[in-house]
Amino acid sequence: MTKIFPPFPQEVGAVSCEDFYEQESLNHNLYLNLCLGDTSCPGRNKDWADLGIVFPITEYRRPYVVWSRLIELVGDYKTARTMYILSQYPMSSLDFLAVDLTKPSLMDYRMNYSPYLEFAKLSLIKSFSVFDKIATFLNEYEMLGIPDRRVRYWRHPNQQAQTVFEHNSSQLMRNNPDNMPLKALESISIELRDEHQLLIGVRNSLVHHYVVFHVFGPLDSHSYPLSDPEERIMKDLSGEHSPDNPIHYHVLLDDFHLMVLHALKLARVAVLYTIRFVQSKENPKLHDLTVAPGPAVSGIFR
Amino acid sequence: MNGVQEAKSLLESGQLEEAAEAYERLCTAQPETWEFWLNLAYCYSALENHGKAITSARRAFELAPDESVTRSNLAAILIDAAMLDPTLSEEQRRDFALEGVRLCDQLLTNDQDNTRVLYNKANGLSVLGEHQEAKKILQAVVKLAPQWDDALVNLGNSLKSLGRSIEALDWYKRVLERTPEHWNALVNMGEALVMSSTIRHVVEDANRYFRRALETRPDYLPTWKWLVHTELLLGNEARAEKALKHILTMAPSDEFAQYWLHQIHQARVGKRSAAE
Repeated sequence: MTKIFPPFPQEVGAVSCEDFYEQESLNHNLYLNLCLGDTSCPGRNKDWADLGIVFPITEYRRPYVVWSRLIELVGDYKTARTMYILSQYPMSSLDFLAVDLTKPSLMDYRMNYSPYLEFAKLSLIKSFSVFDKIATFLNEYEMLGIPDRRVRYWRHPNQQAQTVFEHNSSQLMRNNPDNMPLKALESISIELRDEHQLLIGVRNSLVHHYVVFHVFGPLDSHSYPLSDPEERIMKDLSGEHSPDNPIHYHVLLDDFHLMVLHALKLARVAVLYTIRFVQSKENPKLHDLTVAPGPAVSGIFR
Repeated sequence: MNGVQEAKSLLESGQLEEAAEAYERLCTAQPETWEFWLNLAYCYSALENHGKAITSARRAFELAPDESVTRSNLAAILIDAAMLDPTLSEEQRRDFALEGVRLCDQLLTNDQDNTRVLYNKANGLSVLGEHQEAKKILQAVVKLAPQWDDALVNLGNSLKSLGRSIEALDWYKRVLERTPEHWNALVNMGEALVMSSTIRHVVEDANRYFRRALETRPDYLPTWKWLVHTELLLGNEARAEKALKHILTMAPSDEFAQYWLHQIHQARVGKRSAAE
């Protein structure tokens, strides 16, 4: 059964945090591996992404930069996953945070402060930071020369700004026409732009404004004039907002749960595709006999 | 039994060639009856005679353009031909797919959740190389009809075409949990695994999926080639050689098999000389 974030103090179950973590990760296929939940797969509960990369010694400096970037990506993804799972795991030791908070009555039917919901918000924000770092990594690795502040993985459909895949008439894609992992990363970027405008809107509101969460729905049954998500998206896109009409969303916890999980799953595969992309670029160098095999900078994330 | 009943009975019992002949006779006798043309189109489509299937479906559509069934069948037959007919040129393939997608769009204006039409449209878009849009449509189809194995497999295929082989695996896996011998899911699962990783145990898994697929359809050459690919990745030269020889029994002039047999032979000669 899909749980919602526990908004109220709950009893700690018999399951330890470690077991819960493993079970949730397996249930939702959140480990960085390709076991697909197969219980006979020896590494099913591990993060391993075989890089199998040996860098030519002539590029003695860059491998460490590449490694640093990839390790950071894996770390960020693991943090996003941990935040998500903590949002699902009721810990009595944190319940005091939920009950002690004094909140003014805003009359907008918002739910009480919940540390579990905060974990979920952090998970979503962290998943998006994985996308940002992938864009920056691609910019550096492929030497596209996009200034840091303009590097982006996703954008709104009507924004002028370009993603790393669109920059300079899709230079990145033109340079790597048959690279399937890169094509996959581009496809995820397009999907975020065209199919997940609400997800992006909520993420942006979480980071820059605020989101009002509700335990019970449907939202339009409340007497308070709640924002219609569709209308909100349109205002986001058209830039029609003012101090009287700030950008914020009203979201049901169940819906938010699905959004966080979806973003996390996209971040997971984006990390795996990024690793495959580096493999596809680096491995052919092994067959280039003009360069000596480099230091054994090859391994497995565990 | 009259001609109509006989044709219907042949069609229902799966005697397609005989049913096609019976419907040909009916169409000649009563050329204004669109239902006969439609059934004739169905027979030819099932017999993979795409040209005749299209001609018959067009005739049915001309006779009854307001019947949505004639439109949807023509769309499906055009898109099937674009996907499966090896005799078509690229231009013909594209034209058929475009026409099929256009017919699907017309049908969807009145019935936007028609899963069969959505599915056909997605297939047409795939032929046109619009995999992102095809994926989006198939995601909607799978939501509406989660038990439809072919839709799940095609969603996996769209993802695979976009390079998203790791996500495709989930969809093939769902199908194989329900239908373990779903041939199309087995082959595509193997392909997606090889695309996703070259780690040994993943390639071993892919190899097993190809072998299972060959048990169901031993005559499908691409599966044999994928099998060879995995055997070579796993270092099983003898098994690869056996599979390559099998390919040559099916297609004696197959360049892939000839090339790799030659490579294996050369590698052996090299090893022997090194040992000596």
